[in-house]
Amino acid sequence: MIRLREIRPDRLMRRLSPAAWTRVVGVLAVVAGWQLGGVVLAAESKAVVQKNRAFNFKRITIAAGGVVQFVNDDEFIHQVYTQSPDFNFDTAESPPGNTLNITFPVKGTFEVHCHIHPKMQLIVNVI
Amino acid sequence: MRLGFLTNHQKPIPGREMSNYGARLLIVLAAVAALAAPDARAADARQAASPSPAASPPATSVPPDEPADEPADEPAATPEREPKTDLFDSGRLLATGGVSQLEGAGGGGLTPWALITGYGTRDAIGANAHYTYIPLSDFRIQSEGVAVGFFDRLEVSADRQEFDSRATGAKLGFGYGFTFNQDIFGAKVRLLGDAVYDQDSLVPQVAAGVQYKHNEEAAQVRAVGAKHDDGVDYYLSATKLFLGESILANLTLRETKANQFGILGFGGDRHDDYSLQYEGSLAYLLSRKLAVGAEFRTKPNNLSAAREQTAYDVFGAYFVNKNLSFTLAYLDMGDIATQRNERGAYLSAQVGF
Amino acid sequence: MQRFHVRLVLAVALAATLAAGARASFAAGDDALYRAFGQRDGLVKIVADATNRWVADDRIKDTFDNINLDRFKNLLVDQLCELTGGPCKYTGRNMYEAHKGLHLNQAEFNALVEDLQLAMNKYDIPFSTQNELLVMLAPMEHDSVTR
Repeated sequence: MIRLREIRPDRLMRRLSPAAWTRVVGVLAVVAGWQLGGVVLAAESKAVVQKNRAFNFKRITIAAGGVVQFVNDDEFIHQVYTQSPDFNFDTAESPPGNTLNITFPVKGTFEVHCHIHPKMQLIVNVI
Repeated sequence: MRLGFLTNHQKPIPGREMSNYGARLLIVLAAVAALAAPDARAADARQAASPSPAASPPATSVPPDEPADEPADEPAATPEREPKTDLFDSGRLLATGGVSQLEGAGGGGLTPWALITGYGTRDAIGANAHYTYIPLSDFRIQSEGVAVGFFDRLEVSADRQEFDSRATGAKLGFGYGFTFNQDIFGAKVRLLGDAVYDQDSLVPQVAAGVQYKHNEEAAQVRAVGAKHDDGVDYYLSATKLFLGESILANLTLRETKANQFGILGFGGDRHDDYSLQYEGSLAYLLSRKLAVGAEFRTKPNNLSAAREQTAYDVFGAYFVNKNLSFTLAYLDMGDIATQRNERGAYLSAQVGF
Repeated sequence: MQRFHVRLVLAVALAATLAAGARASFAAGDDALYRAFGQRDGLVKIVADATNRWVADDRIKDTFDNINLDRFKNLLVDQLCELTGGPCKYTGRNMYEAHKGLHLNQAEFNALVEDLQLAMNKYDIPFSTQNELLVMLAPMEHDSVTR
């Protein structure tokens, strides 16, 4: 049985050596990182392929904070952009074989286009 | 259950593992952290195969317990462009098939060029028919024929020539207006180079060709001294378009026995074997449709009774479109069958695609 | 009567060559050809006219489908400007990379050239000057045509 009375910070400070304190902080950092890292790894990720100057989806749905990976599997360069009051992005050119990762942080419906190929359109529904 | 180790009162040893108080603190804090952290396991299940590197701003905390009735993703069929293929594309640039030379091959007026006749690209077939009329001082020559170009690589041609001897026919004892008829079947293969596209190289377009010639007037050609009434010419042509100067140049080497291109038979008393002859053309492009130039063509001079000299012409070729062209030239054939300085007009029309 | 002499033929040949060389010689390294095309303004007009022809030309309009034409025209003007000695830098991809996805054939390449010639005719570029540009574009067939 733990006797809580025996856990006294003033005595603790005297009891633990600097090396021991280092280990305590290190273990706490690992625990904190593990918990926070678990939150990042938990974000949603979906892949959309650019091929034959088109997206392979007309529409996708993703949770807010999720990442859309734009995979250029084409023989042409592409880029992606969206313009809206809530959220904007306009990427650099992405050559064949490259992947662009775009996070959608806010809820809403966004039209994603390519500057180079005007008929390309993807609706991203962020929930 | 007695947790005896927690009540251990041993003195802490510096540099070693944590003291019992440190261990106690750690365990308590770990238990608190485990209880307070959100349950991440449900979100882990939805993670994609390849985790994203942190190229984008860090994600905010997402409660994963949203309602599961999100609309399904709508795929799109990825379109494929259907490339067109056209066997009769007439895709070559205007004038790049040349015109029809005297024996029916693609080239200038007098000499074959390395260009393949017709307007078919390397994916297609082109063809044409021509008629040529040459009124000289004492004779009339006509030539009509067809030629087909396959995939900018192979050309075949068939041509018929009529040489009207007119008054000279009577002098030679054949009768006034006696006509020498000759059939010429030709084939040409492009060996290397592209006269139009290889502007960054000095390499010409090179083609090798043959022309089988059969003169129908066996008796008459022998009467003027020829040894044979048919023969095969072999030639090699090199054609270069100097686009920056708007100039086209051609050189043809020909092994032949033909007298007056075969009109007066093949071989003779002076010489009855193949000899190497030279032919050349130089043209200046005035516009997409008009070229002017000059040509020469040497002859073997096999017959002592009918001397022959180099033929020359200056010409203009007008390409109305890819279906019609006209060539007008002034031709000097030199001496023909005892007549001196045979000169006159060369008029030709070609229709095709 | 003197017959046609080899000297006359050679004279014609020489005259033709001299005529070709007598007009302004566009040596590499100067912008004479760029100026002959009307500099950037001139190239912008020619490219605009040529592009209008290309997107209307049944032989090749499909290859211009789904292309940002403003971006395309800008890149092409930059390229022609640089080729003719103008003060521009072409920042697009090389001819092979830019065209391989289109699977062009020779007939399509030639159709492009023909429409460009018509555009240059419209702006009264002399034929010999046009050829000074085409001489640089012709070898691009090797990289652009992949079918």
